[in-house]
Amino acid sequence: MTNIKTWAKKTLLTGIILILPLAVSIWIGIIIFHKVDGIFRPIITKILGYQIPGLGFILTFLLIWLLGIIGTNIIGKRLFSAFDKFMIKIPLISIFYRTTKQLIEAFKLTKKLPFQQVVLIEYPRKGIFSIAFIMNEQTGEIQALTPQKLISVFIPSTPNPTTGFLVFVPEEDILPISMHVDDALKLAISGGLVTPKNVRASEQNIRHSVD
Amino acid sequence: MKSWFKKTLITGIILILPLAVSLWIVITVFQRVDGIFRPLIIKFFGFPVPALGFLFTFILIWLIGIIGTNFIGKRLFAKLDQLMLKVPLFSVTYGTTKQLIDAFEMGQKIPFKKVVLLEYPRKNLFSIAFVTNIAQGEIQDITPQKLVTVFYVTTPNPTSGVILFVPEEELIPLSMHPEDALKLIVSGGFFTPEYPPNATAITLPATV
Repeated sequence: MTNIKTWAKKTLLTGIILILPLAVSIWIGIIIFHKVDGIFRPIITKILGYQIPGLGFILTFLLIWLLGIIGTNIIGKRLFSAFDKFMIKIPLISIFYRTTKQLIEAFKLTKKLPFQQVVLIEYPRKGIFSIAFIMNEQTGEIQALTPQKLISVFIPSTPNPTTGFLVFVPEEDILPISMHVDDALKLAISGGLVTPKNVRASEQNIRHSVD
Repeated sequence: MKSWFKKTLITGIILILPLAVSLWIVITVFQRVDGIFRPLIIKFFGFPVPALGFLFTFILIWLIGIIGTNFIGKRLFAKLDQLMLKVPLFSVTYGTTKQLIDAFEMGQKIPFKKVVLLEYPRKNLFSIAFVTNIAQGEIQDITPQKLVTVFYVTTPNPTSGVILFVPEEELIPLSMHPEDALKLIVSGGFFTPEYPPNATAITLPATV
C-alpha cells in the first residue's frame, strides 16, 4: 500500500515537473497574444460583425512595421518630428508623451545596451556580495558631486527580477564576472538553486583538452 | 532583408510607444473615473453615456471643495468626521486616511520635493532618495543626530521602496528636479538630467 502511495506521488511529481516548462511557456505566449490581439478586436468586430482571432495581432504587427518603414526615410522622419511637436502641445497627454519619448531617446543614444554585463558588487555592505547588472556610466550632477567614477548598476529582487534597486558604484569596486545575463537571471529567480557553470573555467578546460 | 525588417520593426515600436503609453494612461484614468457613476447613469438613462460619469465626478468633487472652504461647510464636515469615527470598523480606515491627509496638509509642503544623494546601503555606494520629512517624535528623541526622513525607491517601478532616517549631514543635496530624478530611476540610469541645469549640450550621452 505504501509502495503504491510513493509510486503515485513520484509519478505525479514527475508529471508536474515535465509539464511545467511547456505550461508556463504556453501561458505567457497566450497572454501576450491575447493582449496584442485585443487592441484591434473592437474595431474588427464592428466592421466584420464577428471576431477573427489572430487578425488583430497581424494588424498590430503590420501597423508597427509600416510605421517603421515610413519612419526610417527622410520624409517620414520629418513627419514624425512634426507629430512630436504637435503632441507636446496637448496638455496632460504631453506629460506622458514627453517622458516616454525622453526615456526611449536615452536608451537609443547609448551604444551599449543595458543588461549586457553581469557583475558582482559588495552590497549591501562590505563582505556580502550581490549580483548586479551594469546599466550605464554616470554623467551629470551625480558624477560632478563625487570624486570617484560612478557606474549605475541594477540589483534585481528575487524571485521577481522586474523590480530592484539602482545603485551608483565606483568603477573600481565592481567585480566583473563572465556569467551570461540569462544565467544570472535564472540564478536570481531560483533564489540561488540554479547555479550556472563557470564559463571561464569550462573554457579553460576546453582549451586544456585541445592542447 | 532580415536586418532591414528588424530595423523597420524596431523603429516602428520606438515611434508608436510614446503615443501608446500616453493614450493608455489617459484612457485608463478616464475609464476609472468615468466608471464610478456608470452604473447609476445606465440605471437612469437605460444606456451608458460616455464621459458623463467623468464630468459628474469632477463637478461633485469641485462642489464639495466649494462647500468645504466656507465656514458653514467646515462645520458640516467636522460633524461628518465625528460621526464617521463612531462607526465601528469603518472608523479605522476613515481615521487612518484622515490622519495621513492631515499630516501632509500640516507640513504644507509636498514630499518628494527634494532629491538627495546618499551613501546607501554602505559607504562608497551611492543611491538617490527623496526627502519626505524631518524626523519627529520618538525617533528623533532617542537619537542624538538630527534625522531626515527619506524615501528610497525601487527601480524601475518607483511606487514601492524603503523609508530611511538619515542624519542630515550625510545627505548630499542634488539640484535636479524630482521629475528628472524619477526619470533617471525609471530608466535605470540611462536618462541623465542636464547639469548644470539650463546649460546646453552638456547632456551628451555617455559612450560606454
